[in-house]
Formats: sequence, structure tokens, C-alpha cells
Amino acid sequence: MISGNVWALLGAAVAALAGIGSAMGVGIAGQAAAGVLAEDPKKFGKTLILQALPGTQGIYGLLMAFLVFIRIGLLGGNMIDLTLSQGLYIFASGLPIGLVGIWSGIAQGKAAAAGIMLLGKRPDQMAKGIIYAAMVETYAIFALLISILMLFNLGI
Amino acid sequence: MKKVAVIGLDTAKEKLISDLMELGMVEITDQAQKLTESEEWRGLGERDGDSDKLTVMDYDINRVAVALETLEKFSTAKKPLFETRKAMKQSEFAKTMAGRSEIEKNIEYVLELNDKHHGLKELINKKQSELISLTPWKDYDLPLEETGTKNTILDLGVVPSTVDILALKELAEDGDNAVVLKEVNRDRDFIYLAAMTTRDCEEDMMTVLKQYGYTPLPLKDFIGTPAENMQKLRKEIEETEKDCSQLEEEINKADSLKFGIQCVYDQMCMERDAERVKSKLLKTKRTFNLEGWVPAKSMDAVSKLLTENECYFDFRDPEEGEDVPVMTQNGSFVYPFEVITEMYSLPDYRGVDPTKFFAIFYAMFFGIMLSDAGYGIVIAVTCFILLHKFDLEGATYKMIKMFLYCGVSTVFWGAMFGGWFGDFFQVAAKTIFNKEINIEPLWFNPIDDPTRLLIWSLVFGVVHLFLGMGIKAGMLIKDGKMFDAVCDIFSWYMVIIGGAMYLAGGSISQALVKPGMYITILGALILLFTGGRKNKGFGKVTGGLSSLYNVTSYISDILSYSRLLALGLATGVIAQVVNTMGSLMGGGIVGTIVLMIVFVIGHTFNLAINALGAFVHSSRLQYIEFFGKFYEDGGEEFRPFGKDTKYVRITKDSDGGKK
Repeated sequence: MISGNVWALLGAAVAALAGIGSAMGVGIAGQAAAGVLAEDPKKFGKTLILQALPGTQGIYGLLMAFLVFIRIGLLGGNMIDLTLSQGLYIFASGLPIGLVGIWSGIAQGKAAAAGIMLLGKRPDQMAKGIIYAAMVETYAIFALLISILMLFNLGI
Repeated sequence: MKKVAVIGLDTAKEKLISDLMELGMVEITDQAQKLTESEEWRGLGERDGDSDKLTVMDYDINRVAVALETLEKFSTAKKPLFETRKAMKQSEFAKTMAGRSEIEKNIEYVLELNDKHHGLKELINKKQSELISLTPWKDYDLPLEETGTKNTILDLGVVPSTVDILALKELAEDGDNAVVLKEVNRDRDFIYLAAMTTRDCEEDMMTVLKQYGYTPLPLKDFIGTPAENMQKLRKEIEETEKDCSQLEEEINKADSLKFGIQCVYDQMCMERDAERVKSKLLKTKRTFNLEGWVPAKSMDAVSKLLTENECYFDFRDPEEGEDVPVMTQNGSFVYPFEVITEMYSLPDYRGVDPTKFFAIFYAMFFGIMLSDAGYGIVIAVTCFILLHKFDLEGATYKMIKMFLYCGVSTVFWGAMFGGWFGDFFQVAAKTIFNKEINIEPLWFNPIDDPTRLLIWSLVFGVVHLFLGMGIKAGMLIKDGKMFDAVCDIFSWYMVIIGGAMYLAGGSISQALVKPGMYITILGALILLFTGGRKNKGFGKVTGGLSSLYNVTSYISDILSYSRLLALGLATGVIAQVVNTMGSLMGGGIVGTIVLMIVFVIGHTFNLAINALGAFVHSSRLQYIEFFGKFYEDGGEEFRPFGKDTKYVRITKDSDGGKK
């Protein structure tokens, strides 16, 4: 029988999966950055900023996982006993950021890569490239928000 | 902005241009178009300027730039964090320029070193490619100059690696010719062959070999075996490289000449600019005509200068449809935030500069999203030091100053939410001294009650949006469109405020719910009946519906501000995670050291990633949500003709070097 605690930890694990999106996104942006750097090594700092943008989904996932740990007392060493439905609630709260994080991370990586290309050709327009990439992140933020609100309003 | 038109005598031209450059308050506009387009002007004069002279000047400037690049490249001196222009008084600069011929000699010297360096690098490249071409032959032990004996010939060459050597040999022998094909080496693309035969059969063999893609190798310039040659080449390369690094050392020593060369570079650029601007002027035999934009407040200074130079001039207001350059003017607190507006696009000349409206919100949103007093202090102190240590200018100066304000705002919001490097001090006190301390937030801790901050985030958002809509209403009223302001803006105020009262007012007082509903309905009715007023026919009905449907866009705008909570929580929780990880080793000396190391690394990372996030998302809230409500952009920046120098900032002798 799978207990509530198992479901809760599964929820934390699913939330942390958002890191997949970030890893892929940062990777995509990194490839573009290396290409631009081949032309002008002085742009390292600026490309790094754009490359870091898709990294946030992973952080949100990590954040959510830790919030679950704190809630169920995993870090303190004495985990509270959850009922099956409580465990499933927590599992559900991990889903939004976990799933949205994966795809938004990849999409943001592509937008960031395009921003890096823009930086290569028109360095003065870099800020707009950053904003384009940040537009994608909005939806990861919304997902995180839903995850957090679900977790905090469960009454556990 | 005023447009000034000037006519003066040719003799005063040079002096006027150098005076205008000194003043730096006039953007000289190009008039060549006028000659071809305006009937009145055609044939009156011609375009001024000497493009041949400009080309020569540009060429000279490029040479100096190369010299500077050379010095830069091999300099071992530590580069400062920010490249700033050195402030220099006019008289000092003139003194440096007195030694210009000396400095020009230095430039020649550096360029000579650079040429030598290039020569040596080329030599190394040549020898290296020779070395590479010899490498496959390294096992061939005959001298390369050997081409045969009295009766035999010996030839070296390559065939594609797909060729079957045995079959080729048989073919070349053609029954009774004596042919030896020796495979010296083989790689992915080629087989390296030494082909031998008698002098009689040479032609036959070559014909067959060539059919199979045989290419004789041009190694005839070498004397001795490949191995000997390779050794010799390696030695030569090594020696040349030594020469090369000696030369680099010499260039590095010449670094002290750099400042003088930079001054000359700037001087040459200014001379070039003065020459270049002439192409924007018109001339007749003895007079010239100049036009340009002058900020209204600089009119007096410009008129004084023009009178001194005995010019005839006239100021006028910009005409309808003219592209007027934009110069933003803001007070000392708001001014740094112009950098955010500039990143988007400058306001239209006839539009509103939004900077003064959003500056306070920008700092506030940044503070809420970073929401840690410790991080705020780090940012504010760093920016403060940078501002005092470096002589920053322009966008960099504005940016750093803006972050100083944002840092202060972060300290404020961090204290409100009780975040001082997360809960570092509580954790440190517990792990190291085993004491419980409590730092109470001035307001409340969002981790304990995220819903409360969510509501506040949305409230801040509504205030921000209402301000943007209010500016739009103000613009409409100024244009005498009071009715439009009521229909398009105030109706939305009613819908949003009424909606909020109806939905959430109940938690404050039940008396708010009913009136809220009526206000919403009234606002919605205004939208429904007036939304289509500018459409024709059936559009009058659908226009109202579609304007009411805009409620979705307002909802998404308002919800967008929930990022204030999400990003604020992200900083706080990750800071806590860092502290928790640091405390895992417990107390004692080792535990304390681990805590400190984790503290520095973890919080640096968290600060960097979240400050970036706060900057980006605070900008986004301005660009998308706020600007979307009213902003008209598309202005061109006012770029006065002045001293556009790269390395030295020349100040008047009279003032104390202020910007």
C-alpha cells in the first residue's frame, strides 16, 4: 500500500523535474552563446546573462520541492504521517511547476538563444532580447504560484 | 526644441564650427535634401564638405586605432572593471597636444613593432604548414632532392586512399616495364607513394598513375631527408617564437606611451568630426548655411555664440510632421531610471516621458521581488562604491545609480518581510552559539502567509495600472476629449474597483458588496453602449461587446503582478535552503567554517540569479503592463554636435570637471 508520505515525496520529485526544462533551455542558449563568442569574445558576460534566464524553472522546481520538504517535516528528520488523500493533495501541488517548468524552460531556451543571436548582431538591442525571453517565464511563474497556493492552502 | 537656421560668411565658418563643438548644444541637420526637393533652394548653393579629405582623415585615425589595439593586446597591465574616460582640463589637453609630433613618432614606432610582429607570425605559420606537409613523409629516408640516377627516376606523390596499390602497380608495369611503387604512408585521404622506374618507362608510368589521380608533390625545395628537415623546421619555429615573445615584451614596455596616443586619437576624431559636419552644410561662393535643433533652454547660449561670429540666424518652432529629436529631462532621483525607458524606446517628441511616473514603482517592484535586506545592502553598497571609485558616464552611470536606489528599496522590503540573508542570523546563532534568536518582520513573512502577499501584489498592480490609465486619461483630456476619457478609462476604473469590492470587499465589510456590484454594472454598461461609438452600422453593437471582452486583458494584466509574490518567495526560500545546508555540519569550528563557505557561495548565486530576475521582471511590468496603457514611443535621441571622444573627457578650465 502506497502511503500518503510516498505520494508527497513523489510530488516533490515531480516538481523538481522542472530542472529538465532548465537544463535543456540553458543548453540551447549556451550553444548559441558559444557561436556568438567565436565572433567576439568580449560578449561573454552579456551572453551569460541571457543564458542564465532559462535556468529559473529549475530553481522554481527546487523551491517547490523544498517547500514540500518543509511542510512534511522531511528536513527536520521527523516526517509527519500523512493520510493517503493528504499525500495525493501534495502530489497534485507538485504537478503544475513540474510540467510547465519542463516545456517553458525549453521554450525560453530557444527564445534566449534568439536573443543571443540578436546580441551578436545588434548589441545595443540586448535588453529587448532579455525581455522576449522573460515573456516565456511568466507562465512558469504562474505555475509556481499555483503550486505554492495549492500547497499552502491544504491545511496540513 | 527649436530649429535654428544660420547664414554666415565663409571666413567665420571654421571658427563657428569649433565653437559649436565646444558648446555641444546644437544637433546639426543634413540639408542636402533641400537642394533637390525644394524649388526655392535649387541652384542657390551646393553641398559643403570635402569627402577626399575625410577619407584621408579616417585612414589616419584607423592607423592610430591599430596602434592602440596593438598596445592593448600585449599589455600585461591589469584592466579596470569599467573603462572610463579620463577627465582632463582644456589647458592640460592643449599641453599634451603640443607634443603631438613626438607622439606621432611613438605611433609610428608602435606600428612598426606591430608590422614586425605580424611578419614573424606569418613566418611561423609558413614553417608550420611546411612541417605539416612533411609529416606523412617522416619515414622516407632518402634525401628529398634526389630524383633518380642515370637510368632510373624517382618521383614522390600522392594518390587517393581508395586506389588499390597492387592493381595500380600491375597496370603501370604494363607487362614488362620495371616499376616500383612504394607506399611510404597512408592516412584517411591519401596514400603517399614513392614511384621508381627506368628513364625509358617514365612516360608510360606517369600516364597510368595520373589516370588514377596521382599528384606529384612539390617537395623539391627541400634538401636532405624529411626527418632532417622537420627537425630543422622545428628549431626554426622555436627560435622565431622566441623572437616573437621578445617583441611582445617590447610592445608591452611601450604601454606607457598609450595615454599620449589616446589623446592624439581623440584629437584626430574631433578634427574629423568637425570636417564631417561640413557635409551637412550648404555653401555659396562666400557664405554658408547651417540648420540644427537647439533645446529651448540653450537658446540664449547659442544666440550669443552666433552673434559673436557675426552670423544671421533665426529660431523657429518645430513644424507639424517634422522629426524632432527628443531630450528627456528629469530630476535627480528619477533621472537614472531613464535607462529603462531608453532600453524600450524613447518617447515621441509630442508624447509623455513615462520615467517620472514609473521610477518609484520600478524600485518598489525590484525590492519586493528581491525581498532580502541583506542582498539589498550588498547591492546598495557595491553600487555606492562603484559610483565613487569610477568616473562613470552615460548609461553605465545611470544603471549603477538606479541599482543603488533599487538596493535601498530592497533593504526596505527585506526588513518588511523579515529576510536578512534569508534566516541566516537565526540559523547561525542556533548552530554556532546554540541560541534561539528571532528577527521579527516589520510587516509579515510571506512564507507564512503567501496568500496575503498575493493579494497585496495584485493591489500594487492595480495602483500601477490605474496610474498608467490615468496618464492616458490626462492625455485625452488635454486634447479636449473628455468624453473619450470617461468612456474608455473611467468606465474601466469603475469595473475594476467595483469588481474588487464585490468579490473581496466582503472580508472587510459586508456593506461594500452591494455597491460594488452596482458600480461594476454601471461601468460595464458604459463600455457596452459606448465601445462601438467610432464604428459604423452593425459595428456599433459588436464594438461595445468587444470592448467589454477586454476584461480578459485587464485580468491578465492584473494577474501578471502575482510575479511579485512568486519571485519574492523564490529568493526567500532559496536563501533558507542555503542556510539549512550550511548548518548540516552542526556547530564547532568545522561547522562554522562550512557554514561560512556555504553562505558565501550559496548567497552569491542566489543574489545573482534573483537580482537578474528582479531586474528583468520589474522592467517587464513597466514595458508590457504599464507602457501598454498609454505610452507613445518612437522618438530619436537628441545628439548634439560636440566633442565625441573615446578616451579623454575634456572639461573647461573654469569648472571643476563636472559632467
